[in-house]
Amino acid sequence: MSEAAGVRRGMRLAVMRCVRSLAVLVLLAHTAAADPPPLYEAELRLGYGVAVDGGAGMMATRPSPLTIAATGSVAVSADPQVAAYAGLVAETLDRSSVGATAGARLTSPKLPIRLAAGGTWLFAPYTLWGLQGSAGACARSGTGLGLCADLQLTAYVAGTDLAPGRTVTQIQGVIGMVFDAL
Amino acid sequence: MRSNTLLALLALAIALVLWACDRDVCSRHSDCAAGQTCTSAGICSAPAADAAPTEDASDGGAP
Repeated sequence: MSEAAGVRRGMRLAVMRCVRSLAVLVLLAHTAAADPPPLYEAELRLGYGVAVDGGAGMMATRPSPLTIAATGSVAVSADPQVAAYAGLVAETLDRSSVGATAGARLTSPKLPIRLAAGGTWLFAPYTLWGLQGSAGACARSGTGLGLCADLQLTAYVAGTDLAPGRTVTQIQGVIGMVFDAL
Repeated sequence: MRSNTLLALLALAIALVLWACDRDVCSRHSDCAAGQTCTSAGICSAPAADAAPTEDASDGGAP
């Protein structure tokens, strides 16, 4: 009688161990697999670099303004991982201007690489329209925070800030702080 | 480790280009000091309205 009870107790313990092991395995598998992209994400970006001035057959470089951008993004596709982003932009250091930016960002599910393309529009005090592309990588912590580094190119093509017959292409190194909202 | 190296190289490249920058050339009006505009030659200059009094002054000085 007591032997049967012992066997039953042993089986119950074995089942409990199995369930616990399975739970740990499921948890590990969830962590090891490629994390699903966050639905909403916020990012604060600081960019600085050089502006390549062109026109009249001459090219020259000058320091770019310090660009500060606060953007929010929403995932629009899980495979491929594409998110649409939009936000506000400000330029500072040697000038003060504000504008907006918007575009799409593609993130690799296996590598910490991301590519983005979009446009930027400065609207005060002058207007300036530009096309923007960036490539970079992010290191994310488990708490929904991430630190990103990107190389960003912005080609300004039109606007009242642009001198006649001149072009500006900004090449900037960008440091970004990412916050997963959901 | 590899991303750190890339970041360091990127920072070095930007530092080198910044060091070699030509700050006298402009392409945006906001590159220039207040009251100046950027010309198509890439030079900051005072707008034409400021040049008018100089012409008037030279005309006035003629007999």
